[in-house]
Amino acid sequence: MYLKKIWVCLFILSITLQANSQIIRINPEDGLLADQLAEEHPEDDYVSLSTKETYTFPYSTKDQELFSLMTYDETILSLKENKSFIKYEFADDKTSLLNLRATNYKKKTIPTYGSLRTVKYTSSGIFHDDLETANIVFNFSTRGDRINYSYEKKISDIRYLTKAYFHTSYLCQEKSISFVIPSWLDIEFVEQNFDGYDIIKSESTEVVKRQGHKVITYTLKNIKGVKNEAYSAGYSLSLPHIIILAKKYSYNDKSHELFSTTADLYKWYSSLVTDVYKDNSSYKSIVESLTKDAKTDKEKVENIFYWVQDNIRYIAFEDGIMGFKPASDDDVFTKKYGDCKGMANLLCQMLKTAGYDARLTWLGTRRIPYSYDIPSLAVDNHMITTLILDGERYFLDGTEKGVSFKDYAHRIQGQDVMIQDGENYIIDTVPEFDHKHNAAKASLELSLKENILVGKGTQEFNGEEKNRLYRDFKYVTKTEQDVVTEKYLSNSNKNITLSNLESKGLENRNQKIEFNYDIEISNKVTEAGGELYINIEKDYDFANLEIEKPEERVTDLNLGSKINIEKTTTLTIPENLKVDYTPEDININNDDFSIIITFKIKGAVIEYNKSINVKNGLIHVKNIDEWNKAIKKLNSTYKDQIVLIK
Amino acid sequence: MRYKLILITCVFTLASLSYGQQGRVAKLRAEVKNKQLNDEVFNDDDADFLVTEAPEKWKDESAVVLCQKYYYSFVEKGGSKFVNKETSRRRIMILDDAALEYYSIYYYKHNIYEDNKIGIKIIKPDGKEQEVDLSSSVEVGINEIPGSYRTFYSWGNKYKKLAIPNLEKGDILDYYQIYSDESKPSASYAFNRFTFTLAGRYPILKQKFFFNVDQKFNISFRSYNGAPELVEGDAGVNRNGKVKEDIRTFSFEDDNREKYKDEHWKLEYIEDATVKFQVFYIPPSLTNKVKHFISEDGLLNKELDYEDIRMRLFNDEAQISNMYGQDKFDNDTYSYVNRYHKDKSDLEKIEVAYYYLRYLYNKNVLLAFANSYYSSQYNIDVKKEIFVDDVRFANTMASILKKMKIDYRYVIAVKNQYGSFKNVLFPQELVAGIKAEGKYIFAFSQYSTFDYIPSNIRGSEAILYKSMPSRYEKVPITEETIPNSQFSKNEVLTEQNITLNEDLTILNVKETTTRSGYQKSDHQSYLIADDKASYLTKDHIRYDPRYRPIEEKPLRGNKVRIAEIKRQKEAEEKEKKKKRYESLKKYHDGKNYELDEYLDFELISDGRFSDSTKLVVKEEYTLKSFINKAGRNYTFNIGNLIGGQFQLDKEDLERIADVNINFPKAYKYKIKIKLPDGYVVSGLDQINSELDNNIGMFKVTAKVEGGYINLTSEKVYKIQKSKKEDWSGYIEFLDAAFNFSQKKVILKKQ
Repeated sequence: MYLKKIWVCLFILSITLQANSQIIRINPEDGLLADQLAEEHPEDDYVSLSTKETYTFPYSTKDQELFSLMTYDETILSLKENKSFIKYEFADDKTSLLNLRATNYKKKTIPTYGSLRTVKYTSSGIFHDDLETANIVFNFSTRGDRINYSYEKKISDIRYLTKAYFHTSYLCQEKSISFVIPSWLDIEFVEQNFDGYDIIKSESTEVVKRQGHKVITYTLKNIKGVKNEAYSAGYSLSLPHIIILAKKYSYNDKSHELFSTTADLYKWYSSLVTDVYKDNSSYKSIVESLTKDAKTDKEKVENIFYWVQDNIRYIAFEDGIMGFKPASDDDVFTKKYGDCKGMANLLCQMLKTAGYDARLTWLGTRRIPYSYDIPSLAVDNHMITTLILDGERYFLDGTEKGVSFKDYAHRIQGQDVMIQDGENYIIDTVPEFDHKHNAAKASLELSLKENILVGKGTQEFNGEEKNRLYRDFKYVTKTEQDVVTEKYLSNSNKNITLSNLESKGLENRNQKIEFNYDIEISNKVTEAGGELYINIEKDYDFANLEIEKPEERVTDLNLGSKINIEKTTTLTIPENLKVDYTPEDININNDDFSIIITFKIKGAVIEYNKSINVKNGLIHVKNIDEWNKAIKKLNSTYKDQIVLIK
Repeated sequence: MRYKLILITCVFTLASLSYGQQGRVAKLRAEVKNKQLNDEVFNDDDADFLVTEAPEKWKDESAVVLCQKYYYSFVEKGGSKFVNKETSRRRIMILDDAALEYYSIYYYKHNIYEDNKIGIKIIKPDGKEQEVDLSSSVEVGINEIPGSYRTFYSWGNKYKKLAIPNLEKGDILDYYQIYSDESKPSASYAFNRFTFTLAGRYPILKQKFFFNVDQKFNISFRSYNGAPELVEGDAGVNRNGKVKEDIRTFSFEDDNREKYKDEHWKLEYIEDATVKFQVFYIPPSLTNKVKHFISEDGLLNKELDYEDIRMRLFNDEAQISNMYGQDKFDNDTYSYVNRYHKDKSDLEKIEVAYYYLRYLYNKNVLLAFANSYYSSQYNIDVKKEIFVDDVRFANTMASILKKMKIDYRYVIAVKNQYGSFKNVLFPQELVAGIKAEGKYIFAFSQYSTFDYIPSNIRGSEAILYKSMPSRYEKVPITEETIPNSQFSKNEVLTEQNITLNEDLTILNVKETTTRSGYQKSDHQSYLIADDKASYLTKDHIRYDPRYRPIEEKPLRGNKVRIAEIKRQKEAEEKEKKKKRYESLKKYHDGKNYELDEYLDFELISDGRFSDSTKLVVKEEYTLKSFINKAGRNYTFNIGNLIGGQFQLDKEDLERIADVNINFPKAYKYKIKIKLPDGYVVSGLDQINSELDNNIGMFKVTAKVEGGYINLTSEKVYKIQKSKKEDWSGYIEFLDAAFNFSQKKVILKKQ
């Protein structure tokens, strides 16, 4: 009976709610505006009519510290019925979120519930960090509904305020980013990726608490929402943003240095690594055993480098200062795990134990496009070890399992590094290889046997792809090795059967990886009226890489590494048949990529060559249309047939 | 006021200081206790945990479990409280990087109110042992925790994870967890039910399960397919570790277990060594009242007799002859049948009652739920097929039939995955229903029809009996077998009319799909219910012609307001349609071909009533990438029109277990393709084929008639259960279907 009452109550409540939803609560002009905007942007659920991000820099006399206070003020208009607006905001041990307020279209305060309450956010690939997220949520019952909300974000240490972006995940009609700068604060702004965007910068003065302030405002209109873009090269590389460099300040006649120069940045980093060398007693014997039988320095260094790759698990703690300070060598060795900083430190100390000159080295990976000319914490996100041997510098990244000595992972190639050098530092660049370093080659010799393609194949992997394979196969159990290899080489295509499979180099990172096999491919030959239609494509490389909605794309396409695919397939023409048709050749070449396909008849053999190159591993937004056209063309060749007639 | 504030502050500060100190002391005490326990657990003389070598036959495995033991204790504490304690210890040898990665992070429950203890040690190849310090563990969200780290009984809301330090290949990881819980049940209490195979992710050298149970607890335990039997041991110990004669112990031990091998369509509890158990706290006064299968002597480890099953399954008949608090369903249904369908035959009346009861339930329970705050709060989707409780249904139906004076019998059948009655240990392995007028009647879902019999009891054993005035009277029980289903009853018929655009790049498909029997479920939810559960409104109108949905009521207010409401509705409808088409597009995309555009959808029959049992939908969409240039001509991937076909992997070709598909079924295609003007088709003769064996069938016919290619295909899974020896039959017809799906024909310009 009790339950029944509950159901009845719920039922009545639900009817009341439904009835309520029919009451219109919007400004009529907002309704019209929403209609117009919805027509222009049919995919968007809501739009920001105006977003204001204002940075002020109060001095806390209590903490005797300068902090940054960002006030975020935004007006959202719903373009659809019954939509929830969600904004994700992040906090960590230096950042707190405060004072969320919201008003409706009548400027009447509306409840915000616990929207600024943060919950633990698990960053991918990080075991533990201090990042937390708050989801600010508002529900819109109808299109034309308008909400204005604001909150504050306090960063207790101004050095951690590094960047400000214009883009968010939703459409924005106008966004302004303002900095209200007191006269006693020395702060600079670096404008990044502004080209192609009509960003207006204005300057004015303002009196706050009887003090004159300079106000710098950047404004951008009609900003696309950044959706989850596949293969995104990241915001820093593609989107306009402002790098904030708080250099120094003097308050009450006392001056405080922040990061005025790169030397200041180094000084701070350096202060964090003074006590990270404990002593080498725990690993001294390991270093000795790794080096005692090695004849050359290269061998000795390799043995130590590879030992760290193989024996130290990558587990990252990025909690507070641990995001910048490496764990001690002894700690990493004893635990057999560490993050990039801990691994770099252990590798550095092990090399030193073996008598080499090794240094801790800071750098930003490829997703971070800044050089060390910019003294900011935003410049780097990674740490490696630099070995100085016979006057040459070698960059060793212990986290890159499978990479060989003198080889460098794509993500650090060409990046600026800051190398430890006592009181000073050295700026250098990690060598960059061209795309041929990553050559993936294949040759396939096929002939026809009762409408099945049979033959022999070889495949070879170098550079980045080799490293990836080395790593992946390391985690395959021996009992499953054959099955996994066959699936990998056949792309899990059930028309392909491999036999007599041989592999080389899977256990030696200094060698390329090579596979040889016999192959049978069924369902590739269609017989029609005495003619044979044959498709000899096996791998369909890049067939699925056409980018959806290219017009909405705002970030460059990142393929993860530079690409060089060179494949040759031959088909022996049966004696009683001749070639009637081969698919069209393709020759597309631009500054980002090239795709070249040729079909040649050489005596009794048809030779099909495929060459795909992505020179920097990136397709810039400007070339995405051309990329899509090329992939379409590639797909049509992949589906085309060789025609043999009598 | 000021003083008050100061006082409050002082009190608060003192309280927090003392709390803080207490916290520190408690923490220290816990640390010492844990240390003592580590010493106890790890330094015991249990020879099974001293093993440090894995057998040679497992040297290429990823890891080997050298020993694992699970200890469950259920004892009284006094004051009608009881304590249940779960202890598990595992000793695993890590042999490769994959296992090292898998065990790299250890997760454990961390509830502050419970007495939980964890210990981890690593044994190095040279025999040196290291205890792992838990202090660097961090809190973790529950979603991050792999299933294998969750404990059997206790569910915590706080978990921690620890990156295990200094763990390397060749090491042995040895860990234990002790979780204990106290409760004071006011009635009977059933702990979680376990049914599991003894094989796991890695081979297991030795495993042992041990139960310590005092007399107020009952255990149900059975082992199957070669799993060891439960053995009673010496007297057990109470919560203080003292041996007590009235505490019983049971255990079983298993050695040399190879790792689990997965196969398609395998019933693991029938094929592999399996164990089932459950523990209950049942006060003597309730022994006869509980629904669980138990034995009076405390241990149930034998086959149940039918009378036991009948008595327990339909226990408390009077109290549960209603459905979800709606105690008038039987009366209302009877009144409705009696008022409007008095002259119908008994069978027809039962049918009317079935649908009316479903309507009452949907309206009063499901619809109310769909509209309530709770449906979104608990993320429960009422569109998904939900069956009502079988026992409650059977009781309610029995009550209606009694009122209608129609003779009926209760039916209890065993679910296929548990085998036969001789295997049954839990009521959850059974399905209850009614048989009347020669027809089986089982619990309904929103979408089921009167003739619905759950697919998982097809071909299985059933018992039938008449309801007696007193449930304690012995009743004559008869045995039956629930009839098997036939493939022709579970059919998907797809009829397509296809035309090609001018440059042959796009196929326009007008399609009618007719689904019958078990092929309807899974599809009904997204084909029928587009807005929460709109079919519920239709039912409402069907049974109550005066009913008018809220949205059809006339709008009130001024012109502007009415116009705005109308506009809102239209916008909502448009958005709904768009969403729906997107989801339908997604479904077709999953069929392994490229859908270009989704154009139209019409529900012809929802298949929810006996007068229209088939689910019929009409759709129109366009496909791309089916036709490709090949010289002067075109290839047409005609085989792909029947969608991607299931194909076995190389490693699936050998079969160990018998085969049990959900139900026999057929997929039929009738496709009519208009040949583009000026083109002829070549190669069609190559695709006509027929493969028919005792397991399945695949047949294709294709011919050109009057400017059309007429293509028919039929794929039939003939039988539900077959022997492993017949596996080749599957390979043959699955291969035939896959090969056809890869076939092309040539469109030639005349």
